[in-house]
Amino acid sequence: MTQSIALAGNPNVGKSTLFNALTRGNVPTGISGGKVEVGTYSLTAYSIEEIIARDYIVNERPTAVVAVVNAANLDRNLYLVTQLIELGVPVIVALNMTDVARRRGLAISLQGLSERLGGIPVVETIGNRSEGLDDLKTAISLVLEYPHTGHIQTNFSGILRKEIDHLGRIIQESETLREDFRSVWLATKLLENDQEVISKLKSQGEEELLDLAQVSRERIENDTGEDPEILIADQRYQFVDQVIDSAIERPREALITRSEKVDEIVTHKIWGLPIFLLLMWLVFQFTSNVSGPFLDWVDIFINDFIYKWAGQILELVGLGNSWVGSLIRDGVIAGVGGVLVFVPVLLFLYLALGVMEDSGYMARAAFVMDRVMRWMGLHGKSFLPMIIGFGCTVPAVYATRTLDNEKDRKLTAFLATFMSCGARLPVYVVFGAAFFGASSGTLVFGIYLLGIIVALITGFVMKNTIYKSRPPAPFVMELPPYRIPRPRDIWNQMWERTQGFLIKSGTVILGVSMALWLLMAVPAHQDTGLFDEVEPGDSLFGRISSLVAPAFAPAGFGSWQTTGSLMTGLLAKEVIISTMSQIYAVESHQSDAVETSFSQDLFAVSADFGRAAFLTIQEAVNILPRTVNLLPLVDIGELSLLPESTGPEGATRLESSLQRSFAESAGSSAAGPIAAVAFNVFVLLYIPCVSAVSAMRQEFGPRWMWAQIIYTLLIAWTAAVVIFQTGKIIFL
Amino acid sequence: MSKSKLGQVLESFENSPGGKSLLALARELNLSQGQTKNLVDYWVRKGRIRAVAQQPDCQTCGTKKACPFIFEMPRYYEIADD
Repeated sequence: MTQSIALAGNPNVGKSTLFNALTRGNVPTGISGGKVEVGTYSLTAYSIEEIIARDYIVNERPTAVVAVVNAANLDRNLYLVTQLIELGVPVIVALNMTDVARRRGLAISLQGLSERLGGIPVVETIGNRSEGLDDLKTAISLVLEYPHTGHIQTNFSGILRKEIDHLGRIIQESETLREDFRSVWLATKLLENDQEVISKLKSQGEEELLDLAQVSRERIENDTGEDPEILIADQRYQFVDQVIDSAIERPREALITRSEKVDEIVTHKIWGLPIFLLLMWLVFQFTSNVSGPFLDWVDIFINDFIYKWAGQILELVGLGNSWVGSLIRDGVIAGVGGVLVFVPVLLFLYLALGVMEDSGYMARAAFVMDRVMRWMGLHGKSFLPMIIGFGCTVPAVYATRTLDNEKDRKLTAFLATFMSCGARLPVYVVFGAAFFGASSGTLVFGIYLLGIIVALITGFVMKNTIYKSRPPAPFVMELPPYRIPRPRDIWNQMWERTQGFLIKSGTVILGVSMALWLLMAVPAHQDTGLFDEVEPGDSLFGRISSLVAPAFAPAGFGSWQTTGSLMTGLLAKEVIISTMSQIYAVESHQSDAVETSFSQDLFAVSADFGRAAFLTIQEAVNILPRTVNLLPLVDIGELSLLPESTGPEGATRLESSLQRSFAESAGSSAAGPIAAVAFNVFVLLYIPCVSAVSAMRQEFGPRWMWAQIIYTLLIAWTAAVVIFQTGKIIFL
Repeated sequence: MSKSKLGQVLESFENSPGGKSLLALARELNLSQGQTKNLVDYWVRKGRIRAVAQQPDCQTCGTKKACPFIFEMPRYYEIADD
């Protein structure tokens, strides 16, 4: 006689591993005795997997069923076991992943568990280490020899118990039904109104039993006010809870896990938001200050070393004074190099964000922000596009597809553009370093925060005026447990995100840099100079920018250089910095005069690299005292590994040029930093890049796209002017 | 007669004014997170609650799901309308 053993269990409990270990891999995974193995959470016919699993056990009647359960997550797994036992088949419980359960401090009494489950065998296994397999095989052999079906008191009580017994007795009286089904199981299924079972009984002509079951269901519903199916499931869950309480000892802290304790604080109604803001402040301190030394080093390496020696090579091949040489140095190296300088900044930003994401905090941040958005009347699901908007606006616009309501979609996409994307970060970093030194992290944090505030205010106003819609649907969020971030995962994230930036530098920014070089090489008028010999301000680009520049004079940055950068920034926000690098490179390199040899330069660059490494450590350590020093009356010292005068931490060529240019356009050196803040706010709020605008057009049509363009332009200009004018009144 | 825990879960979903964490729901029902998740999963299987995994659908973007700017966001549950 052929005997068949079925393996049943919830998804991902190690069924396949155990199956392979038992069969030594001789049978393909997923196929057992010609039947497909299906992971299922229950045997109630809600899904195709559940129907297949149940039909196999009910119709094919395996000799025994090995119920594979995850020992570390028994409360999720025992529901299925109770249903298997109710079916009346011999069941053996393979308590798998017991090593994980032990690590979590769970002590499971095998005997206690077996007793509570009606005396069925319970065996410990660790499938991936092939441990416990002999015990499991012995248990299976015993069950095959002496079939034993468990009988559990599932605690069906009150009227439910009464009706199950009533229908059970009727089923027992029918010889056919008695042979085909276990009476208690069938009675339970009938009370659950299980359509699969009902169809089968109808086909067998059991109309009378079905009528009686209907009467029973009505009696239960009248008595309890609840659907019998819900009552049955609820009582099964209660039974599972009782089994767990009596068979498992959990350490005190396991009852309230460390994750839960931390969550009570970080997702707290009051403290959640300040904690989120503090962490974001730390992220930007870390990003701006710790990356500073390497940013300066890369700047020197590209804009001095590479720029100079590429020029020398071009001289050697006779292209030094040609337009080709100019294109390579002032177009490609200055433009693309100006952006590549920020690779250290992005690496550190993605490191910080990677740690937050991998540790599980990002999900909490989303939860905390969600509460704020709801308070403003925005939809709960809006936080996903918002958070993604911090990376890139384009996927943020597409992320609105998770929202059902069209109005909410449009509004969320609109607001996501105010979340400062990663491409704008280099702008804040370079301005922070140029005008605010060690406080640059605070400037970057302030800009990001302002973006959130503008989005919330805009959302609040629009939600209460033109975009009124039904209140957001309630939801429950499952926060993942905290975990120690894995260095390899973090590195992968850092690299993938930075790689995206590098690819953009080699494609979009390279193209724009070359086009910009051409516009800066072409004279606006024949009297202003020859091709590639014209002063930048007299070039076609300079003159076009000069036409628009007066519009920004009230905001303190009405120079053609900044205006031109904002115009090219419409193509991609990184281009703002590459444009500035190109403009100021042409201007500043004209005055280069220091003669040094290649080996001297190489030595200097190498020495600077070492200093940058030391200074990076110093800046990383100093984040702590700087954070503590924010408290009133506290002043703890900072680490200083190198004398202040050493190292490449002085203002870069671009930073110095910006200081001069902004002092000039703002009217004085003191007004320069105020104009710089106004400029950064404008960059934050003005029209998103062309890719994001295209995504808006594709998703919501041209009208909505133009509304976005006009609104962002107006709000950016107004905010910049208000900041500059108010700043002058307060600080000057 | 007091309402079943399963009924209470659904009631809490329907009557909650905003979002809450699974932990908060568990505390409200005086259950563990695992028990609460079981009850929520029951309603998901039954189709009364739906689990929403938030993954944006960037059809026009070449990188799609490999987009480095997509953060892995938590799953959440909401009442299924239909």
